[in-house]
Amino acid sequence: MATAEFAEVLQAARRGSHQAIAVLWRELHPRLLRFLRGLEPVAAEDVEAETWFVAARDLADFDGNEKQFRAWMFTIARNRLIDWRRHEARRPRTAVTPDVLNRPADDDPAATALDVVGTEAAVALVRSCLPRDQAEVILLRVIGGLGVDEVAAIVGKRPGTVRVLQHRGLRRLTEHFTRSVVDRRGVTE
Amino acid sequence: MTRRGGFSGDMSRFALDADAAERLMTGVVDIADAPPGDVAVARILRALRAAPDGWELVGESDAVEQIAAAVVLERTVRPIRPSRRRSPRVAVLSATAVVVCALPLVGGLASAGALPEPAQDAAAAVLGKVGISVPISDPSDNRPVPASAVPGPPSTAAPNPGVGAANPGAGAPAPDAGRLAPGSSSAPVPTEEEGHQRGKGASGARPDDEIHGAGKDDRPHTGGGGGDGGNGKSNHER
Repeated sequence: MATAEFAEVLQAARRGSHQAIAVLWRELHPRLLRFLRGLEPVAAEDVEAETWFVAARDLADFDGNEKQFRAWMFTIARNRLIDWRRHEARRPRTAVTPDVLNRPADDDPAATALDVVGTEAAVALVRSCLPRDQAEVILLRVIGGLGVDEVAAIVGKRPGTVRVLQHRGLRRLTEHFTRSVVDRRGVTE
Repeated sequence: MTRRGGFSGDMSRFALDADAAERLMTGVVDIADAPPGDVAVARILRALRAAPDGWELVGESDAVEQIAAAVVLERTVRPIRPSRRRSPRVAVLSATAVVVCALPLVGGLASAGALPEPAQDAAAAVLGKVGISVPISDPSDNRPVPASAVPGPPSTAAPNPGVGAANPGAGAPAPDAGRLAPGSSSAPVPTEEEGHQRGKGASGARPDDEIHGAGKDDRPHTGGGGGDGGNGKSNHER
């Protein structure tokens, strides 16, 4: 979206134009949902809906270009997610029986990803393979289309730390795939 | 053990330089051009940034409707919120309220003669014009009497000109002197340093003050050496 075009869309969205809000929603809803599913699949849809309502409330105060708007939305989503985690941590939990823990997964995301990689499988793979901070950085950079500095501002870390986290995450994914291929060959041979 | 300056043989397969990592993250590397070890990762990252599937956009109309309603609601609620900036009318009203409250207070203080000297004079001049008589401040009031004007206790000690000139408070015998020799009429002459330290908290106090506990008052003395007990008030104020 061109800068001028985005400014018009944002201005119309502030007035409550359905068309303008639909443009913003189509652009950001899939990204936000993927990002949240990559971190907390159970809460992704609720947190995403909450993100939009916070954005609607504060839309009049936002001033910036399209990339800044994207970063702003991801910041809200991340903050909502942190709130949700805090809330969940205070709730009493039901015990999980060991049978459930030992049950094998229905599908192996790594195996799926190597063949036909769908978005859902890719998100699941990032979630299952990477620690939370590495997954967060990679999802923000790739799904959010944000630069290192913007991601650093969102996660509250230094740009150098973000680079290290993304590098470790990529290396870990590569390592995971290499092992997965070796395992599959071992099974088939 | 890892060799110096590099990965072990097993880990070297996963080595990824910063530029290659950045190219992968931004998606500028085509999967066909990706290094052999990173093809799978490049494929995953491409899938992450793929265009949305149809099912991901399900519920658009409902979501847009609700967001638009929230935006419109916020727009209608927002003007009701109190603004931080005061309107001129509010400023005038609050200034009037302050003046109305302050007038009786100042008038009362002026009629009691409790205002500071310049304020008392000004209040007397203003209120005198409207027919209210208010006492004018007495210029002799509140004027500190110089310490040199009040005769200190007789000292039989030898004069120490250096002390008195440097520190007026040190000219009088310090209360410590009384403690050292209670009831003695000849207190020891303090050295310059001692006199300076003693003079800080006990200027003009008699040696007996310390004994009677009256010299412990920390308030400044302005010539109250004539047996006022060190309460800081001059004889004139009484």
